[in-house]
Amino acid sequence: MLTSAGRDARDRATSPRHRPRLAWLLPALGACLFAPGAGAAPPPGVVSRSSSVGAVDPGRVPDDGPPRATPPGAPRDPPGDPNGPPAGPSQRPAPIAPAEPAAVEALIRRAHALGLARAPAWLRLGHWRASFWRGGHVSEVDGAELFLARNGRRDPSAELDATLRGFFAPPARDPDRHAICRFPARFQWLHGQLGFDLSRFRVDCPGLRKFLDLMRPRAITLVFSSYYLGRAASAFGHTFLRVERHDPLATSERRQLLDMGIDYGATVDTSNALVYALRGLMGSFRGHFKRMPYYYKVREYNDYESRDLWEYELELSPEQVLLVVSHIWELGHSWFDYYYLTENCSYHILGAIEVADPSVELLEHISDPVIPSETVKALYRNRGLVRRVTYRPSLETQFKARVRGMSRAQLAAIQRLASDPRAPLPGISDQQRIAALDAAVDLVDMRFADEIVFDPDSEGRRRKQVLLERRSEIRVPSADLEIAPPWGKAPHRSHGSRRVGFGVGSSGDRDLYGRLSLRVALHDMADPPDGYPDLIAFEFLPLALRFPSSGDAPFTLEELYLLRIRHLNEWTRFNRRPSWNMRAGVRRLTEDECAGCMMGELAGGGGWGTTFLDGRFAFVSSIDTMLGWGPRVAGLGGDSGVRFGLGPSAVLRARVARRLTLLLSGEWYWLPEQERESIWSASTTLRAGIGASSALDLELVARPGEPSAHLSWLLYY
Amino acid sequence: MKKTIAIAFAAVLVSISGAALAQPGAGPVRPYGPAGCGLGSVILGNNPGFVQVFAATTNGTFGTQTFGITSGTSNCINPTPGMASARSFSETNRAAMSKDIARGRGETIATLTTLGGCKDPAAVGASLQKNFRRVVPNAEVSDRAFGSNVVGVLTSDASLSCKKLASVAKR
Repeated sequence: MLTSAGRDARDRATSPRHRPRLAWLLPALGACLFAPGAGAAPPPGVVSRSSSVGAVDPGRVPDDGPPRATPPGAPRDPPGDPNGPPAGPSQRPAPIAPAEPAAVEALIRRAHALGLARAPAWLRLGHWRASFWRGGHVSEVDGAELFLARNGRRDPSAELDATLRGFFAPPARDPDRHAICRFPARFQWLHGQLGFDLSRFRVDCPGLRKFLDLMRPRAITLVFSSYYLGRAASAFGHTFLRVERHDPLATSERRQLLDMGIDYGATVDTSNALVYALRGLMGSFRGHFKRMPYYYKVREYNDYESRDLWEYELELSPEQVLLVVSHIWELGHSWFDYYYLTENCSYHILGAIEVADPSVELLEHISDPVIPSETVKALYRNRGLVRRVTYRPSLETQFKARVRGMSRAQLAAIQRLASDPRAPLPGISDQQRIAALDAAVDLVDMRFADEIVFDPDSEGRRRKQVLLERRSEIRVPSADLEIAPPWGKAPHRSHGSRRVGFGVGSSGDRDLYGRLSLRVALHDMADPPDGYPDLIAFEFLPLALRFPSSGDAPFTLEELYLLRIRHLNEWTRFNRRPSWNMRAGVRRLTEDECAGCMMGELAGGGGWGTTFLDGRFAFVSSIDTMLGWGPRVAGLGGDSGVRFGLGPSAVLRARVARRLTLLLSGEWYWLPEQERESIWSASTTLRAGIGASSALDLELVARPGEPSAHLSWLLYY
Repeated sequence: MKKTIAIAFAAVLVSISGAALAQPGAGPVRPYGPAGCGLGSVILGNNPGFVQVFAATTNGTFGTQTFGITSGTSNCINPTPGMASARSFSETNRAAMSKDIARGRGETIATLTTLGGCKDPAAVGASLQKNFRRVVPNAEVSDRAFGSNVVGVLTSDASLSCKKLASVAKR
């Protein structure tokens, strides 16, 4: 599954057989691809032509054949009208070249007879989705620039007419405004369906030509950037595209850093965090596609934020790759409303990939909220779509690999070097001194990530400089780091982001009750560990209900949290970051004097965490504060309803077996100046992963008033 | 009473946000980075901060001008071998490349070799390592100066035969 069958893209892209097909756009778009004068030499084998408009060798067109958006053998679009002329390349009618308005109208009629306006491929090119509210279709694209027809956003059929008319319109004053230049993906697809006579087009697209020359697309890779709690917005991870670039120098070794990255993100114009959060949820920021060399992404994610990158190369034909990249050009003119939870980065990246082929189903396999790791798994719902998976270790992963197996003395020396870069070097051999300096400078880079990028006059920069000067004096190159990908942590192996639990429980002296739990996202300390960072619990909207209720209501709410986070930072000689936790939500109290009271609470704190026995055990303890409010809670001063607490908590987790986890946790709060002096709870959880997407969970909770036990079947989906 | 509650509330907020901010990269809100192609022009620091937690999955905080699909300024983003790209690549990758230079080897050096049309990454690495103090004379040297120093070493060492930089070397 990890490396799917399929020829190597490299071989394919450079094989002589392939080249003429990649160059089919050449006559069509006035030598868009690899045109001389666009800044770079054409790749070997591609005949360079004059970039003058319409310089076409008519003999080429039949040789090249029409573009094929689908690989041979793959299912094509349903033709719509079964009686219409077949659209397959082999039986395509002779190309027509309408220049007169009447001929264009005839072509439009033929397009409708073929049912193109309802074809899934066409609907994807305009991002039209069936509308529940108004019937018909409406596009997710919110900018008007993606549409030629006045009502194009709501009318795929009118947009088809306008597009075809636009293609045959005379060249525009601003050449880049011509419909062919704005909609190259539509042009490719419609040409495949209708068979334009390419020799009739007299359009030049300098902007598009420059874009394609910069991209030189050969393959497309979906990149997953791992979970990062350092910036909360990245807590679920992030996805973007790497477009593999055809290397005109044809060097033996590819330079991945020179590929182009395509990112979709909100364009944020506020630094007020609250405004940012609210507007993001309501979709009032605009989302744009952006492009930049991949090395920007590597430096930002891999180095600055220390996030591992997982890369999923897609099994797409060169024509499909070109179609996707052309479509990104189309989208680049426009924008979407950006919704953090639904139409977010991962959603529209998938939407862009889907254009490649009607048989590729991606958006169908995801649901709200859209979690980046789920979009990676959507790739795997399409058999053979993932060609290969590669892994790019973060700076932190690299550092850990450097120090693995080092002696205590060496580790101490590295620690010393990071704070005193002029400290004496350990060991006598060059290799030992190199190893120490190379690790120490990585450590400084991690500790002073911000300063090193932003602040030239800073302690971090100075330390790094001294270490590098010392390193450069040893005139021996460092060996390459060999890091095996941690396949168990690959995001496509993660359990489903949502969870539902069906269980029974018993509490105090009462009878059995039913228990239903739900969680919108993502992972806690006892869930099956594959695909998730080991020491992070990040729960969005966890809910627990019990029924029947003791009162009149059909159920009793036990807890509902907006967020519940625990980030265990392993305290080592190199990592002195505290562990932290926070939760915000509502829960039901059990103490005798207020049994069944509801209390809203905001709690959190910081502390110390560690792991031992090779990560099998994890432990964290912290000092937390808690602020609660409930109408029936006695609280500060006796009747304010406000509860304030301060006290320690601790969690111990044991991975008993690969899929069996034991979690012990306890907390105690001192409640100053309150009727009740303290409150505490302790719980034991035993959870066994069963199959790919479920677990059996036993939980015992001790607390004042109402100890309880639950046995639940948890389903991840 | 109200005062006690206010103090309690403040204590909780401070402890939670304090714990959360004890994260790497946390820092004051920063404006866009300095002009040029440096990484600072992309990364905005930890803006806008912890409350972002409610807004879960974006990362996009870049200017659309520099990196727009249709409007991108190509002096920072053109990966075609040549003088300008070798320079801007060095600027953006400065934090990683300065390490690779001191180590005499690495991915950024291999990529730079391609961009400069040079013959051999090992030779480029060795030459840059030897000239480390010329490339990074001090910690304060700007990204731009770093970029031109790197290219300067490549063009002045004829044995590297960096063909894509040759025309500039003659000047």
